[in-house]
Amino acid sequence: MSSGSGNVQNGPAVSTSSKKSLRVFSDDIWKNKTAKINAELFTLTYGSIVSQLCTDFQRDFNKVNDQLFAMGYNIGLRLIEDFLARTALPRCDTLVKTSEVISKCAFKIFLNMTPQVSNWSNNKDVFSLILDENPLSDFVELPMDASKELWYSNILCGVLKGAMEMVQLDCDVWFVSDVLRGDQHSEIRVKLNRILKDEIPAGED
Amino acid sequence: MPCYFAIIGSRDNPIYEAEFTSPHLNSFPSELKELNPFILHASLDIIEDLQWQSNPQSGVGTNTSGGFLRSRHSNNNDNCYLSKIDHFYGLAITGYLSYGNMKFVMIHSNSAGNGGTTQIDDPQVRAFYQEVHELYVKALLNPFYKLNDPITSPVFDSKVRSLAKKYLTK
Amino acid sequence: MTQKIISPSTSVTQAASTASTGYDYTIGPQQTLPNEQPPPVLASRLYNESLHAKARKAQVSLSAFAFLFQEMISQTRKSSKSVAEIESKLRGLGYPIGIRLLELLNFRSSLTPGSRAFFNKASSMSGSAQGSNGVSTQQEDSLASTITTMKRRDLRVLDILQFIHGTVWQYLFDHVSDDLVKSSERENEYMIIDNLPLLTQFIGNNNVQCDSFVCGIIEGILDSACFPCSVTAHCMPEDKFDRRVVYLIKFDKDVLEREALRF
Repeated sequence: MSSGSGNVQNGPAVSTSSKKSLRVFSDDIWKNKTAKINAELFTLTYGSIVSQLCTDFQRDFNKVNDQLFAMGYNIGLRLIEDFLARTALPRCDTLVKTSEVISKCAFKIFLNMTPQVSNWSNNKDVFSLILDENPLSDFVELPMDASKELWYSNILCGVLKGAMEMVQLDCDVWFVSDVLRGDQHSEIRVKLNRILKDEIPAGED
Repeated sequence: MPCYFAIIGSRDNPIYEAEFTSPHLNSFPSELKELNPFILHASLDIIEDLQWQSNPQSGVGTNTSGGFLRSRHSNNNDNCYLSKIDHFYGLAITGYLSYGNMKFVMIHSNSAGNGGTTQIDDPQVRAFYQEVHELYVKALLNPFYKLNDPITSPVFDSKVRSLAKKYLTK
Repeated sequence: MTQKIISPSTSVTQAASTASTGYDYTIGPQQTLPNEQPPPVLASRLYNESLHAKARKAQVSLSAFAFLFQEMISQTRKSSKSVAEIESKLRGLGYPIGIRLLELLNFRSSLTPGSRAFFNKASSMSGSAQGSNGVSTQQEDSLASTITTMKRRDLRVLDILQFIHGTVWQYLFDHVSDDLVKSSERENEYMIIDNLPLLTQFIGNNNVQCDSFVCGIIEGILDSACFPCSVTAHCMPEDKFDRRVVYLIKFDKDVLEREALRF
């Protein structure tokens, strides 16, 4: 009942048909089983939060990054339960599979977007999520003093970190580029450190 | 015609200013140029009065660009564009209010440079203001922008200048 | 007369010749120089993307918003010493949103349905993708040029309240507010009523009025429209609506005086 477990490193690639069905499955949840809200209200609210943090931390953008990450982490810890309850997806047996679930299902049913999964490391323990769109960062132009330091959407990294930890995947998650900084893409890097064995709740699988 | 344009915040502080000229036009004579901010400031009281009139465009400017030009666009009864609100020797001053009551003001100088009355081409000027209003809404949407702060974005600046080329200083 | 002399007169020109550094209020207005090259197309998603409501994603999941909102409230709690401080901070987070909505929603209301801008949706979407690569060559997607008449600025208390009750509520919560009432006791008081507040439905019952966030939004709108006021939220269950909220709006005295004078 969770999206991560043992035997991650060398698992087989997911077949095309299951990719397709995951997409159809997620589209159906988004269209028919998801309560929705105006995306711009979401955008503006996040903007208000980030802007306030920049003031609170006196434009120490590294602290702002950390705070956004911490907020995301707290969200991730709670969000995974909602995600599993809504999707009832089985445990993923590889990180490749996990990455597909994150991009095609999790991003889809929460934010109605599907980042591309790419840039796998050779031993399949690091991958990237390429965000072609990002409702958090609409309407944003970074001020000059922030454009080298602030990862505006860093809350997303925290969410991924927290959510994956709850399914026994200890990961590092960080932004490597952001279109707000003038980069070509917005790219989040996810690196699996290890699989947590000790805290698998009773009754799983 | 050369123009001096400013957006004035709710505390009567300028949040953006620019001067528009073009190759075949004179710029403002230097002695006038320094007066521009003061001429403009003097017109703010007039705008604050027009702000609360139901039909601000019919309130003033019975001379020059008044009745005739407007009657051709009589279906246009919005109260954002205030048309010509004041004049100072040969200069004409126009105004525009955004929904958040940012004051957009412009001093138009006679292109002939002979001190004659400056004519206002209302449809063009209105179009310019509406487009700048749109840019202002975008600037405001940026969460890092605080109301009444100067708008320092180079992109905003260059877009306003392109609009001036398109509508004002042809 | 000094015509025919193109003589940018003040020290300003030096700065202006570097072009496109943006407005600097310490320098003042800068000239567009006569022989200036067209400015380079700068990569800016903010200014290159359309303001049209259909230019971007319409919706996200309510749960995504709820998680963000809950976390915003819990962080605010952590950093505050009193309930009053929490409420005031939440109000402060809503206020800038109100300022933005007043301009954005009125501007959008000026668009006539079916205008050219509507059909530009596809081009603006692809334009944004190009813009993010910094090589946008596409004509900018201006909505203003398609507007024939701007929506009128609201001048009267009732007009601006109707805007909030209708346009704003519809935009934020997907339904108009359930009622807009004038106080029978005090001239300067009005109430906007929401039977099923969307944002706080996941927040457990507690003594902090999380609807302060919405109060902030309303204040932001009214303040920047020059109707200074204070807004408070009151939980007043009625019938089957146990989370029913009444937003009480108290206008400053000046607002009523102006209204009496003008209309």
